[in-house]
Amino acid sequence: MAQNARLAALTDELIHSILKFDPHTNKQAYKHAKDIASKGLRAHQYARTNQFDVQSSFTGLEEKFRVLNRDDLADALDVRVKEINQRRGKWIPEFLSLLLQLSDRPTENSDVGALELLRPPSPPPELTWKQILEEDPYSDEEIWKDIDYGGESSEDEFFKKKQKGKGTRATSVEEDDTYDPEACVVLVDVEVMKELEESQFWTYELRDEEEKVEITELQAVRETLFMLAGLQSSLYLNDKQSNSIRVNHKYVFGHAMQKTADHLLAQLADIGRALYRLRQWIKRPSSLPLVQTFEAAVQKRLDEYDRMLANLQHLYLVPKAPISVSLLELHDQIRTGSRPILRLAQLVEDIEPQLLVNPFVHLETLFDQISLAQMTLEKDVFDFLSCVFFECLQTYLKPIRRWMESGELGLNDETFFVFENDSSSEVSSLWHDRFVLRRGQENALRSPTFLQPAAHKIFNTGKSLVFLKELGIYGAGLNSSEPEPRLDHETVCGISSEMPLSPFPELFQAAFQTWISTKYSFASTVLREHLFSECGLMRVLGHFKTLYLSANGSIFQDFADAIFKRMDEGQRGWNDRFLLTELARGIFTPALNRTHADKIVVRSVRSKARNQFVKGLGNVYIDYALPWPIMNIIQRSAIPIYQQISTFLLQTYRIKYLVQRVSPRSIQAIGNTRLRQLSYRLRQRLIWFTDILRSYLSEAVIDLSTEDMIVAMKKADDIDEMASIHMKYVARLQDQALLSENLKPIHKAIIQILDLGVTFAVAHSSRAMPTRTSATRPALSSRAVSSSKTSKFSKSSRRKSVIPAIVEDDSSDSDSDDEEADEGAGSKAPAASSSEESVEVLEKEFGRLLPFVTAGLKSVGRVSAEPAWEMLAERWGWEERKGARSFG
Amino acid sequence: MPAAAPAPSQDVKRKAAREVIDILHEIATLLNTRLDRQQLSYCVSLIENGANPEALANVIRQLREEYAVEYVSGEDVGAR
Repeated sequence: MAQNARLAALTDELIHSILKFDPHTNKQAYKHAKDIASKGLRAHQYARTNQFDVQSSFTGLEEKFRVLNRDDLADALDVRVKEINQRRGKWIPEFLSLLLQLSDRPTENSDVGALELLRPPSPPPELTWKQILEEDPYSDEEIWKDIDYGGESSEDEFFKKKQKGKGTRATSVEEDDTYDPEACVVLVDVEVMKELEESQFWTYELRDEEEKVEITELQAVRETLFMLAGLQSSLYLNDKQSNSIRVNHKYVFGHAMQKTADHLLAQLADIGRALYRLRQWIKRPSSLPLVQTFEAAVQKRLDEYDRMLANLQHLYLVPKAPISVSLLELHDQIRTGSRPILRLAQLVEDIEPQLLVNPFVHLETLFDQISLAQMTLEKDVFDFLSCVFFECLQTYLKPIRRWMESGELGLNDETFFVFENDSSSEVSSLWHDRFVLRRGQENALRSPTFLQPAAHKIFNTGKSLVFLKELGIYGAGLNSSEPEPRLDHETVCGISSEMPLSPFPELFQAAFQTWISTKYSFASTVLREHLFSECGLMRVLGHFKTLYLSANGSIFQDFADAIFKRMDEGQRGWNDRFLLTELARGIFTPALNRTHADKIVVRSVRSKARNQFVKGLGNVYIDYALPWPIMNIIQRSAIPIYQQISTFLLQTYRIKYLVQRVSPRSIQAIGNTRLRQLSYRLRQRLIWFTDILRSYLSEAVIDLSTEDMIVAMKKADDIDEMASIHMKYVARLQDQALLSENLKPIHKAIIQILDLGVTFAVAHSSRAMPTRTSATRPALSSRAVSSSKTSKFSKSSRRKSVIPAIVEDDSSDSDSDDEEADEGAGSKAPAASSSEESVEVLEKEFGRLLPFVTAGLKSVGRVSAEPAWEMLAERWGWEERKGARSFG
Repeated sequence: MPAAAPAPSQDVKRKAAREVIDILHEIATLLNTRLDRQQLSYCVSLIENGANPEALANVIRQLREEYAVEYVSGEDVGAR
C-alpha cells in the first residue's frame, strides 16, 4: 500500500505538471483527470516490456532517420542510446519504451539544436585570489613617487596606458593600435615545407658526376610539357649553339630502365627541338609584309599548340576523373597533336634561307605540301596547312586586287610581278610598253608558281584599266557590283569533314579564276566595246585595205594612173609630197569619208639618184594617221609591210600600164616580121604575167587573209589578242606576197621580169618613134641619152631600182646602179637594128626567168606547205606543161 | 536482487541517476515527446514504482488530449 500511496502521490504530481493549472480553481477537471490516471495505471493487461524489441525499435528508428535524410538526428540518437545502454539499470528498457510511445513525429519536429538548450549553463569559474591579484596588485610603486604637476600631457598618459596594456612589442612607434602585424604572419606548416623541398628535385646537390637523381613520372611529365612550351626545364637542356635540346641524363626513373626511359625522352626531345627552332625563327622580325604575315600565322599556330599543352597539364593538375600518370601516353598524345605543327616547323626550316631571295617561296612550299598532304590523306595536316596558306595569301592578294581594280601599282613593290617599265612612254604603245611582267632568273615570272596560269589575265586586267583611264572613261560606275568572293579554306575546300576529292591545285585554280573573273571581265568588255564602237577598229582596218591593198580596184587604179602620169611627165617635182597628198586625198575621198581621207599623208623620200620612175615608185609612202588606242593594236611595225605590199601592187600596175601602152597597132607598124612577132609575143606574155600576179595578190593573198582576220578580230577578247591577230595577219600577207626574206630570190626574179616589161616598153617606144621629143618620151630614155658610159644590161641594176627602200643592203649599190640602169636603157636607144636582138634577148630572159620562178615557187610551196604558191606556180607554168614552142 | 557492488555513496548514486535522467531527457527531446524534465522525472519515478510504461503513456496521451489546449496556449480553460 505504500506502493500505491507513492504511486498516487506521484500521479498527482504528474497530472499537476501536465495540466498546469491550479487544482483549486477547477476542482472538477482535476478530479476527472485523476480518475483517468488511476484507471489507466491500474490496468494489468499490459505485457512486460521486451528490451530487445525496444532496441530493435531504436535501430529501426535510426535507420528511418537516415533514410529520411535526418542524419543529424540519427547520429545524436545513436550516441545517446549507446550511452544509456552502458548504464546498468533495471528500468531502462521501460523508460525507453515509454519514450518511444510518446514520440510524436520526430523526423519533422525534432531539432537537434534544442539539445544545446538543455545543457545547463556552465557556472562561472570561481574567482580566485590569483586572478584578483593579477588585475589589481597590492601595491603600486608609482603611488609613492612625487607627482610631476606640469610635465605630462594627456597624450603621454594615453601612450603609457597603451604600453602597459599591450605587453612587450618589438617596435614602439606603432601608431595604429588596432592592427597587429604579427597577426599577418601565418605560421608555416613545417611538414608541407619539407614535402615541397623534397619534390624540387633539381636542387639536389650531387656529390659526384656519376650519381643520378631519381624523379617520378609525374615530374617527368611536367618537365616535358614545360619543355615543349618553350620554357626552361631541368630534365631537358637547351643548347644554344647547335639550337637543339638534349636530355639531361642526370635524372632517372625509379621504376623504369634507364635505356628505355632515355629513348622515350629522346623522342620527346626531338619534337621539342623542332618546336624550339620554330620559336627562335619567329623571334627574328622581317620587313616584308608577306613574310610578316607568314610569321603571324605561325605564331598563331604556336599559340594554339601552347593551349593544347596547357590543357594536357590541366588534366594532370586538376583531374576530374582518376587519371593514370603515364609518360608513354603523354608521348602518344603529343605525337598525334604535334603532327601538323611539326610539318610546319620542317617547312620553315627548309625555306628559311630562301626567304630573303624569294619572298613567296613559303607560299609555293605550302602549296606543294598541301597537295602532298591531300594525297597521303593526312586530313589534320591538310586543314592546318591550308588555313595557314590562305591567311598568307590574303596579303599577297592585296597588290593584285589594287592592280585589278584600279590599275595602280605600289611604289617599289618588289613582290608583285607587274612592274612599270616606262612611265613616260607614249600612249600609242601603252599596252605593250608601259608595263611589263617582272621576270627573274631564267626568264621565269616572279610570282608564285601556282599563280602563273592566271598571271596574264591579271596583267591584262590592270592594263585595260590603265587604258580606260587614259581614254577618260574610267570612273564611278565602272566597278562591278558583285561582291568579291572570299578565298579561304572553307570556300575552296569545303567544310565537310572528309578530304575533298579533287586535287587541291585544281580546286585552287578554279576558285582563283572565279575570283579573277569578277574583276577581269568587266574591264575588258568595256574596253573592247569602246575600241570597236568609238575608235572604229573595223573601219580603220577597212580603210587600210582600201589604201594599201587595193580593196576598191577602180580607186586604186585611178590613184596608180595619176601617179604614173605625173612620173611620165618628167617634171622634177613630180613626187612633191604636198601635191601627192592632195592627189591621194582627192582620189580616195569617195571610198573613205572626207574626214578620214584627210588623215592620208603621202611622203616621199628624196633619193640620191636621178629620178628613175621605177625607183620613184618605191620611194613613195602612203601614211594614215591612226588614233592612239588603235595604234596599240595596229602597231607601227606593221605599217611598212602594208607599204611594201602596196608598192608591189603598184609595180604590177605600172608594168601593165606601160606594156599596154605598147599598142598592137604600133607593133603592127613594125616592118621586121620577126621583130613584129617577137614583139607581139613578148607583149602578150608580159601582160599575162602581170595579170596573174595581180590576181594572185588581190585574191589569193589579200582577200582570203583579210577575211580570216576580220572574223578573228571580231571574236577577240582583249587587246593582246587583237594585236596578235593583226600581227599574224600582216606576217601572213608578207609571206604570201613573196616579200619575206626567204623568198627574196624569187621576188628578185619577179621584179626582173617586170623590169623586162619596162625595157620592152621603152625600147619599143623609142624604136617606133625615134624622132619624138624628150617631152613626150618616157623620162627614162631622155636620161639615158645623156649618159655616156656603156654597160651591159644587167639584171642586178634593174632589180635594185624597183625594190622599195626596206631592203637596206641594196642601198649601197644604188649609185652605181643608177648609172648602169641609165646605160642599160640608153644602150637600146641608138641602134634600131639591134632592137630585134634586144627583143630576142628580152624573150630569152623571160624564158629563163619564168621557169626559175615557177620552179622556185613550187619547191618552196612544197616545203612550207603553202598551197597558194603552188597554185601560182601552176598558173605561170602552163606554157611549160603545154611544151613551150618557140617562135621564129 | 544481487548486490552488484558495495553500496556506492549517495553522491555517486545521485549523480548517476541525474545522468540517466539527462540522457533520457535528451532522447525525449530527440523523439519529440514534449516531456519536460520535471514530467520525465515523475514518469521515471512512477515506472520505478511499478507503473506500466504503456499504460502511463496512454494516460499522458489522454490527459493531453483533453486538456491539450491549456498545454499549447497556456490559457486557463476552465470549462473543460
